[in-house]
Amino acid sequence: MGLMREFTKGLWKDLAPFRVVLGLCPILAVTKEAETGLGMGIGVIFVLTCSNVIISSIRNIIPRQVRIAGFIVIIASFVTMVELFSQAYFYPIYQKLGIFIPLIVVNCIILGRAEAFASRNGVIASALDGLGIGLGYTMSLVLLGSIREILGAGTIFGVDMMWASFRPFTFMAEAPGAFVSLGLLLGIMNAVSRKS
Amino acid sequence: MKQVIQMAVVLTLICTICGAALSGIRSITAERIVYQRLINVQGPNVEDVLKGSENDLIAERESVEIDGEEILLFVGKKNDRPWAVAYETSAAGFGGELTIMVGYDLEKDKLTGLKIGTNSETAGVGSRVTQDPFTKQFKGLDIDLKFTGGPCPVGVDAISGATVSSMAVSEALKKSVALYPKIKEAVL
Amino acid sequence: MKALDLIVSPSPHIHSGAKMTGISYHILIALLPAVIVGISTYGLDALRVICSSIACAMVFEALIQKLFKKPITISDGSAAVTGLILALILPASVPFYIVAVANFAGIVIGKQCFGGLGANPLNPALVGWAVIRITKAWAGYLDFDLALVNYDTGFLMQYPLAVLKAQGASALSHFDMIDLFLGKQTGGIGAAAIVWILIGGLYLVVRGVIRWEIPLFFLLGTAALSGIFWLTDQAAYAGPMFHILTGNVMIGAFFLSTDSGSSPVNRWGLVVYGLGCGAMTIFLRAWSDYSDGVVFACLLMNLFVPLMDKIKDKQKVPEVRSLG
Repeated sequence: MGLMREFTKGLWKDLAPFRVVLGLCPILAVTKEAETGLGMGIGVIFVLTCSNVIISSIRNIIPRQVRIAGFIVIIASFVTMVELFSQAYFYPIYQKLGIFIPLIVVNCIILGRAEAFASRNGVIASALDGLGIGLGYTMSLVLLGSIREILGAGTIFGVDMMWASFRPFTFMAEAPGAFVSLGLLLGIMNAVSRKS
Repeated sequence: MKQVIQMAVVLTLICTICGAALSGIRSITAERIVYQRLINVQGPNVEDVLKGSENDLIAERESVEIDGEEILLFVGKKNDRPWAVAYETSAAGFGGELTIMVGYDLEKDKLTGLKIGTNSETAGVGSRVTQDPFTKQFKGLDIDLKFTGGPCPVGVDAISGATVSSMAVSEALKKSVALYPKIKEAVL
Repeated sequence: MKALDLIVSPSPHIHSGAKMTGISYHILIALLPAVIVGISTYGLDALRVICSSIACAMVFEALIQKLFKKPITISDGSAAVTGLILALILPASVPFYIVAVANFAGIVIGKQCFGGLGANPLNPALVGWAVIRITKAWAGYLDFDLALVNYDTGFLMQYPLAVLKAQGASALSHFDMIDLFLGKQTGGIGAAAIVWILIGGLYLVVRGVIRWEIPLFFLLGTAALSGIFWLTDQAAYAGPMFHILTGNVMIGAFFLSTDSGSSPVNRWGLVVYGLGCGAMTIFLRAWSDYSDGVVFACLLMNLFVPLMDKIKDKQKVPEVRSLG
């Protein structure tokens, strides 16, 4: 029961970009399309879960003074793995995500979970925590990506969604559109959570 | 003292294990990455500079050794006879290595086209050299390139504000043209 | 009576005895000549854009205030002013949905999300315009030369600033300064009616609705910088008169930059703000991709207003005295 909560908290209570406002750089940069958002999200789930598991299992061996250095090495290794795998198997998405895959290293969600959760909890709880937070992050990326893609290009995952004469509102695909839509979503989420 | 040793040992262990894992994965994926790059980056460029070829350019790629360096050649064929060849060369750009794919007409000894492959030029400034208005200028140039002091050969206007990137393209092109006689020999 | 939560910004404050409603209606009256000229030039299309823009602005304001559970204040006229100003800088042929999106962006995002009237850091009408202007897919609807090609107005149908951008100052010889001043030029529905905007603006200055420093120094800034450019290279840059009499400079000086929520309070702040808007307009006209820079110049200077409000006349700050 308690373990289940470690998983579900990432989906709403600690929802990374909207509730605790972390990991905003990728959410602004890679959500031009739902597909890139999904690719980024899957990368984050992989890195977060794996690094949480490893860090949690070595939490009693690693000395306190050098823990951050150790965490970063582990996280960077998994990020490099994601980069290599995406290059080998999902090259078009790799091309679109570009620099933002290596930048997962400095995504504060991942180091934050390593420091705040995985270094203090058991392996299974850490794995569920990583999965939950990562899944919540992916859902947020896909949600924002879908909103921006449907308004900015008239498609979702590349499939036409709008009527034929639709002239896309390309503002949403640009940087200001990312800020505006993120701000509006944050506002809506806050309004909803205040009510409940 | 014991603590210091523990720190050093643990960190070294972590780094060693991570390094080993990464090099393993790299060697597994290396071949596939080259292949993916071939299809996704070089492929479209080859198709573009060798437009009019009737064969499958990617499948019939071949590799030759020239001056001890391995070069991947794409040979375009018409009526089963090679009419053009394309290959990549690179030079240092503004933000890192810049590769170009140049196609040559084997009969007329002219450029059939030039496309920019991987590069890390500044978006919006240097990256303008990757766009058609710039690269289209190279089409039809004679292989006997003339330079009169400008960053680009005669007949090509450099991009203002992106001199370094324009020069990188020219540098890579010079290398490419220098290789051409030997490559022509190897193909025919 | 229900207590209101009042947010009072730091002193000094200016009070002229006017109510918000009065200010808005003065602005609407001041814009009336330009509206009439616009409708007589472009016909029912201009009327359609103006009416739909005002209606959209008021509807969005009412809806968002209902949603935020605030008192509905559309009768103060500020939303109508936003809608009207926005309409006057658009071409007459712009489709309804673009007007609606612009007003949504202006009223909801530019104004109400920041706390409503007076709390907006940017002029809402300009936010709305900027949002639709940077939407590349809609650029054709906002390009005056493309949008107004089907109108027969009796004067030269070439947007002067687009000619300047594309062909340089030497191509401008067939624009007559008197015609430009009389509003016989391609441009926004009302913004192109230079002389009528000027009359309306002077009316506002006389009535004390807007401070005279902003328009004066806006025009001075425009003239000074374009003069410098012009003197350095007369073949490439147009003269000061041309810059003042084209595009949105006149409406910008009197109506776009003078929005009370997003302009400075103190005299020196106003001077810097006006000069900044004017100079930035010329920089953008000379060096940016957009042919007219007034709106982006005003938005940029709006952002610096909190800084300009720090410029205070030292003597005028009242001393704090104890009452006891």
